[in-house]
Amino acid sequence: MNIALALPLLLAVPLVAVGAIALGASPRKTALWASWINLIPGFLVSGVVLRRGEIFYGPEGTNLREVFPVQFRLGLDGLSLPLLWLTLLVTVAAIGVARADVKRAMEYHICLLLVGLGALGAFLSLDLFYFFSFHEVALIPSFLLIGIWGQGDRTGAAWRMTLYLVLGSLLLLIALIGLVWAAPETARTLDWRVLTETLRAQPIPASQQTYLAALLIAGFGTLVSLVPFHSWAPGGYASAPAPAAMLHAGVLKKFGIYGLLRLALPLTPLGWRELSWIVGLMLAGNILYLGLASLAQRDFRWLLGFSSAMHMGTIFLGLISGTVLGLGGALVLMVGHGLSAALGFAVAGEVGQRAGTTWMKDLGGLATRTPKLWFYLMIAGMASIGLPGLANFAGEIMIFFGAWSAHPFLVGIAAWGVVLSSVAMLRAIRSIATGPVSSALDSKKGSDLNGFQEVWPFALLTALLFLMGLVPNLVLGPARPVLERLIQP
Amino acid sequence: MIRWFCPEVLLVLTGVTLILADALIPPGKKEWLPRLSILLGIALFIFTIWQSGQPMPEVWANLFVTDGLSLVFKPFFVLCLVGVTLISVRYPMGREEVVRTEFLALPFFSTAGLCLLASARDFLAIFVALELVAISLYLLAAFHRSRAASLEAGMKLLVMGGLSTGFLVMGIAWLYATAGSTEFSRIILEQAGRPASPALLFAVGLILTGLAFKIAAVPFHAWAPDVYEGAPTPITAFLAIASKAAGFVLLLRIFCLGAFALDSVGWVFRPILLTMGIATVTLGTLAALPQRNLKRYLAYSGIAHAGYMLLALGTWGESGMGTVAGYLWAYLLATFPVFIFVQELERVHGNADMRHLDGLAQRDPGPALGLTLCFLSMAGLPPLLGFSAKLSVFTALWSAGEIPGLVVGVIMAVVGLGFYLVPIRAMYWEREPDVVPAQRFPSFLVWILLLAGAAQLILGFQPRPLVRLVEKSLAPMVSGNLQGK
Amino acid sequence: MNFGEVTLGHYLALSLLLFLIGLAGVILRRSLLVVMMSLELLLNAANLALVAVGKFHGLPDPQVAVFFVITVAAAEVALGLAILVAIFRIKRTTAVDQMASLRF
Repeated sequence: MNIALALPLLLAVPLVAVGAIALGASPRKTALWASWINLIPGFLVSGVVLRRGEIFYGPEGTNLREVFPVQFRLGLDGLSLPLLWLTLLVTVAAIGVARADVKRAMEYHICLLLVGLGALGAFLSLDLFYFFSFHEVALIPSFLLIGIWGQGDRTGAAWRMTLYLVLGSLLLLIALIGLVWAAPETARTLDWRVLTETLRAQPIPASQQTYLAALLIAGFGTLVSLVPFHSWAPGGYASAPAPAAMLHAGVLKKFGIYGLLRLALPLTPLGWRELSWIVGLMLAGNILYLGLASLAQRDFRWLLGFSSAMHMGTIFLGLISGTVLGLGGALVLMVGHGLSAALGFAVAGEVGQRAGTTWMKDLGGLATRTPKLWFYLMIAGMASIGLPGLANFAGEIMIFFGAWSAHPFLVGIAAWGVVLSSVAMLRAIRSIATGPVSSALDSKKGSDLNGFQEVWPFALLTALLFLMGLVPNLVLGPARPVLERLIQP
Repeated sequence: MIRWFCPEVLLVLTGVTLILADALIPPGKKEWLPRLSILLGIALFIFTIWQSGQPMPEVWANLFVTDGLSLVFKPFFVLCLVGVTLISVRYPMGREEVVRTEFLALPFFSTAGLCLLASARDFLAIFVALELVAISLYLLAAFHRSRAASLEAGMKLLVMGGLSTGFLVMGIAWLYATAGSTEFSRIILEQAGRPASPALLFAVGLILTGLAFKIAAVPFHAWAPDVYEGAPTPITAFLAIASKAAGFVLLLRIFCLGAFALDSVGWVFRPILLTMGIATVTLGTLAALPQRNLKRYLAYSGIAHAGYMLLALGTWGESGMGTVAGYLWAYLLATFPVFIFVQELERVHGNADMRHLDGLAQRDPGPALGLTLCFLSMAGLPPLLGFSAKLSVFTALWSAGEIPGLVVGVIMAVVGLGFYLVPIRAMYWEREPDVVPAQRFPSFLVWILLLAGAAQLILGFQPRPLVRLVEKSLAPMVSGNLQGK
Repeated sequence: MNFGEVTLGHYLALSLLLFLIGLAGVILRRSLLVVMMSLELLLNAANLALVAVGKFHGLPDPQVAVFFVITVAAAEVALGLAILVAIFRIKRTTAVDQMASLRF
């Protein structure tokens, strides 16, 4: 049996689960089982990647002489491996956090599985058509998740988020068309691996590279909530139900950065270098503007939304560092941020469920009333601040060292970002966790996480955060050769 | 022998048979006629597909050709006919229990005209075929005689159609005056290697104007929403899909496959088509936003789609042509199921107001899912079929360097998603559900919509069958080319 | 007085003039009956052009084409009048601006 079949299996398992749920299987159980079972093909392919460096599935190369040359081709290498695992595990945790008694449970779990499926497919696809399409698969389920099960201004948030993301995707689509057409006519292909090789041998002319890189930055930047394109993100996450926010902020958003790593860096290196000062400005905006904005938040969900968008700035600093160290840091921070954001939104969701509000001034006394929840809140907060020993710290420190020689000024700004985010997060934790027990928590719903059933998703994410923080080489080891190839001239 | 039984002949014969049967059979015993017409329609569809694989004479007295385009689009039109017949039999018209047979027979004549159009290679043949389509359609649009809206729709269609005919005939007259012929091959020979004279440009301009009415391109679109809303729903579907497609097939044939050497009129008409495309996309998309009647909504959505196809046509290249052919099929597959749904909605609620969609996902999850996939496909969201269509429009525009068209197309695709999400939101988000009548949707509708949704998904993920179709439609005649004879 | 030879250009100009008159009628007139008459004018303008072209170029085809156009125009008018009568039965008017059951 061909072990590469595990790659399409990774996509088939959630799909089958969606079908089963639609036909009447118990939604939560099926979704949970599917996301756990999906770890098995995950292990299989990881084994191959660790041994051989990469694994592929699907037919080999055709080029664009055909009218519509798409090929369903999947692949995995050291760079996408950590993201695959991030997706698999955050999906497990998100569905674990999803409540069984949610209204319209069938549609709810289908939407969650589809968001996870979209992210998985995007990270696995080699063909640009599917690379793009899979990301969009997640779009409408997110729209429905926020619209139907969200809170606060859910209508506005859902519309804003969906339309922003579509705009970003279409800019990206144009950039992709441009990239493919920039290759010489006989060598045009939709396979980004082959395209990378082709365009490395015959680079795109510099002027063309500049505007293609600009399109890529605008397109992917919108998906990652880079500053002028960010306004969908905080509100969207604040309004989304906790599992949706976990999947979206934790996993789906990483698609934009992944795309830049895969396409912008190797295919338009000159353009990327030329535009790096603009990216620098944007990421400074992310860090300072969104950091200050997060200080002003009064609602814990909004604070998490802003701080999640803010950390994207630090990751971008890694991307423009131009060193393997910086890129590796960006990758570690991507994973770390995915885990910590997921944990944060999970805690916020639980707090919201138990207290009926996430307004920080209405909360208080979490530490005495619900110690377990308080513990995980601390972990999420500390990880997001960048406490040593947790994954985010490893990523941030690598990014700072990697970017120091090229962008010392931006590293300074990013360090201030750490300060801003610490102030905001610590203030939030103080106001939620300490002080007199609030009346909201005093109500009958205000009980702690109850037994293994409710605790395990949090414990899982926490364990992973520590694991990544203590052994970042788990991510860096397989990724290093890929990253080195990315920035090699 | 078989060549005499081409789809056109059989379609006309079927229509005549139905009318005769209606006249000869005593009233009260006609219940089986609607079923018969559906069966005949399906049989014709199968026959057309079968025949498109058979060797056929290439040229029929220099008036009609058999080539890739005609072979691919005749099944298209007959498929539309099947769909129209399928929903016509369920169209309630006043107190009558059974639908009038003329209402079922006339679409057969109209489809015969469409099939003729698909292979016409002479402007005079085009004119006659177009009128066969149009006159049947005037009658059909006004068929619901007890409703003022239907009569008005027929009248508006007639005036607009007459206007379009006038432009077309005037164009043909000028074509005679300059080229001495209306036959495509002669005109090519006549014009080969020469710059186009102003008179020729004028003639082509008039013809283009006539066709712009048919495809409801801005600024000749104003009739579409009114007529679509007023006409009986099956006829609206026919107008929105088959009639529009016929206009595009003609545009393809005239501007790309043949009549005019590309460079001789291209320098004038390329920018015109592109500008028209930009205006049509913009207006269709923006005007669809406030619509609350599904039929009007679909009218504007159709206008927007026409705009995208015009943009592709305006790139003036092979990829643009292929895009139009593929886009038409994608449009058919996404739009027709929605019209079938609208018909049932009208049966249940009496009108096609969008508020009847509220809470549909909880009452009827199957139809809601199918509709959602169709609307998203129209919006051009991957991984659905409509995305492949939009993608090839954008690719054609990019490779032709038409940046303004590309920019407008992209922006309008985003705005378009905004308005395609409106019915989806109505179906899924919680609002006060509409008062539900006792009638539920029939189960065949559920299956059709689910099937259509599945088709969007499958063809979206694996568009290869459609690509084959497009390749076939671009293939020249089996041997020889238009220059011959 | 001699105005010189009457050429094809004269005929075409006349037909264009008729065409424009017909077009203006369709767009501007308020009675549906007059609109239909204007449509006829439009088609007959084209007929004139066709006949003239046939005559001057010595081609039979355009003159045959005229018969097609006449037939089609007759069918169109017959249908139009039938619809008009039906409309008049319901609405008791044939004015264009009363045809407003289908607006926003």
